[in-house]
Amino acid sequence: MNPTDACGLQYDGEASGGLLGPEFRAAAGLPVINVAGCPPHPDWITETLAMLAHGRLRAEHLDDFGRPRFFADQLVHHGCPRNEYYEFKASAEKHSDQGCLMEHLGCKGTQAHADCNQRLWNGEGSCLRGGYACIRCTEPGFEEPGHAFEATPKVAGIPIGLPADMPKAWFIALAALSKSATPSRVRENATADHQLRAPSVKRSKK
Amino acid sequence: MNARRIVGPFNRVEGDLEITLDIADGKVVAAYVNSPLYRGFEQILQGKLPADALVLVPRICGICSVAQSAASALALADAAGVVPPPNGRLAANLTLATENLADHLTHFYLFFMPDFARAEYAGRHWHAAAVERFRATVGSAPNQMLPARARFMQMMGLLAGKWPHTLSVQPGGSTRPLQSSEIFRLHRTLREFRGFLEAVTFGAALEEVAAIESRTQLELWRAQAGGGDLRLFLEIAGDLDLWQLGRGTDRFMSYGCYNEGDRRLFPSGLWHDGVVPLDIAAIAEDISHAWYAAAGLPQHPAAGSTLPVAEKDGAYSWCKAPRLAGQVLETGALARQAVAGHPLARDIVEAAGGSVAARVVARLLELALVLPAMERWLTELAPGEPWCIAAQLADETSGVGLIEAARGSLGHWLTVRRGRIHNYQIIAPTTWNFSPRDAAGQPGALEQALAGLPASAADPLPAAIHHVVRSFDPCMVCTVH
Repeated sequence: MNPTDACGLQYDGEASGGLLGPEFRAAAGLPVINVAGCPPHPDWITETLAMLAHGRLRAEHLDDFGRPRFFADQLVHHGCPRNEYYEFKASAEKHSDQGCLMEHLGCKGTQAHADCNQRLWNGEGSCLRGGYACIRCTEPGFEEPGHAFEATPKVAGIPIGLPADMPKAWFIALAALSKSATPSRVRENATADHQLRAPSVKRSKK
Repeated sequence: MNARRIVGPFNRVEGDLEITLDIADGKVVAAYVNSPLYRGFEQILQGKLPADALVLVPRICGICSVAQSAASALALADAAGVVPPPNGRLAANLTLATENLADHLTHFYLFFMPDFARAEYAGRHWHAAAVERFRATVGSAPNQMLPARARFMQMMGLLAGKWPHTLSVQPGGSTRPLQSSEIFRLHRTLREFRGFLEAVTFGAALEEVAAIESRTQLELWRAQAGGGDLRLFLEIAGDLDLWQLGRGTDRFMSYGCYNEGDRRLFPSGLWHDGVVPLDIAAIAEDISHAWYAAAGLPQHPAAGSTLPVAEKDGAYSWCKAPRLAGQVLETGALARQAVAGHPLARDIVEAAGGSVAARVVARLLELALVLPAMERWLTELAPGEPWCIAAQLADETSGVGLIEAARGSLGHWLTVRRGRIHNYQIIAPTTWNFSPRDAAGQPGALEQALAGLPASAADPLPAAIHHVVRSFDPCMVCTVH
């Protein structure tokens, strides 16, 4: 549903074109720069403008969708504090759980291009740190995912959206292996809203 | 000499605004407020999964995003019949309060005060001070306020993951459990913001400002030493008589907000020479002067429709005209405090009704009232207790979410059929304040407030018109959505 025929300046979804057309170049020779995100991080905007003002942003610094690579060459997954839960596929089952949000709650942080968990929002936040899914808002077409935003679509129990650059068979094999190796501490904490068990403390042998 | 002038687009308001003024004999005889941008969120929401509303509705607005989330979460909670646990309720209060206070601060420092640095006020005794503090881009005040606001908004990083467009505010509570050390970090952030407000905005303790009970006491307080930007504004307001400027309907509405379990910090009601209970069923949206297909008589939002048409005789805005039992209402901080019974707000509206000064003072009063409440809510959070419960929606259900955004009363009306959103209607605060005429020809609140102001056919329009428009702190992207 697009009642106002709104579209991007140089893309309509993933398709090159948009309002200005694929051949458009500004006076300085650059295509439209897509500071993606809904909303974009304010630093992405100010840093893009600063780099332009200083002649430090050229065509090779933009990715396939015209996004500045300084933030788009990262994944939201990078720096996620739920990483241990991700490694062991110890998953949150409901809102406010501490576990990984990928398996059940719709998180697409392993596929979304942005540095949200390294740069952080409002001091020390991000969607994942806030306890809710990355909805891939820096990617074309994120607004119509074809499933509930906060639920992970699966086929035969396997999430449809796999981490970037990861072959499906590997993901399935690794997930099965890591699930079988999940420490009970991680498994129990994953479905609680606060830490039930702390990492154990080991004393060195003398 | 008669003339018709179009004012706009306006800078320093959120979104697109255009006002047509009919001028005769040196005065505005009629004002027509136009919201020129239509986006279609209510249409986009139809057919979506109900929970997806939480993703879509905050994107109506980049500055009152949490207010939209909170109204949607309440509508979904109403439809599901769930009540969040205390931690979830407190986290929702804190998140909404952070946004509302930041909006009040932004309005005062960036949107409203710069108009007093205009050259037309060069002869006034306070003009040099206004220029030094508030002149756009170079004034000293924004350079103090912007870092303080950014620091305050770090509340959102911990409470809500991020701002705008959080998904932490859910019908069953908050997705973000807080641990004790994090709660102390939030205390620290609030303490820093309190320090800014007391040193820079008020030149006084928040409690001292909150305790002012009348206009007379307010002027006595102003005369005391202490400095602060509120005192400068009061000096300007007295000199320009902003207490008599921009009177609207003097009917004030508040849905009430900040759920404290058995009560609300600011209760709901309707003030018109006294407070009466609010009858939500008496709300109807009139579209006689808006570009929407007529569906007969004005409709209650639960049964409302949004069918845009490009051409329509007599229409001049994309904003509908909500009315309560046929009456034009004003909503916002002044309305909220008049309804809630704050003595200063009551004294002001009983003496002279709504005005530019009254609206601005009520916003700053809320900074002094709400921050101490936030400090209290933080102490009531209980780590280890639940933060969020599940909210299961029936396939056929409906719900209403009513809250107070910074700018006033925000309502979401949701109907679910076969597990999908069948209808989703939103009435935003500025939809009330900036509504066009209704079928009876009654102008909206701003249209009434502008009528009678001095204006000429040819000369630059007086700043007073800008003061009146901005005194409502309009959010045009929410108005039409």
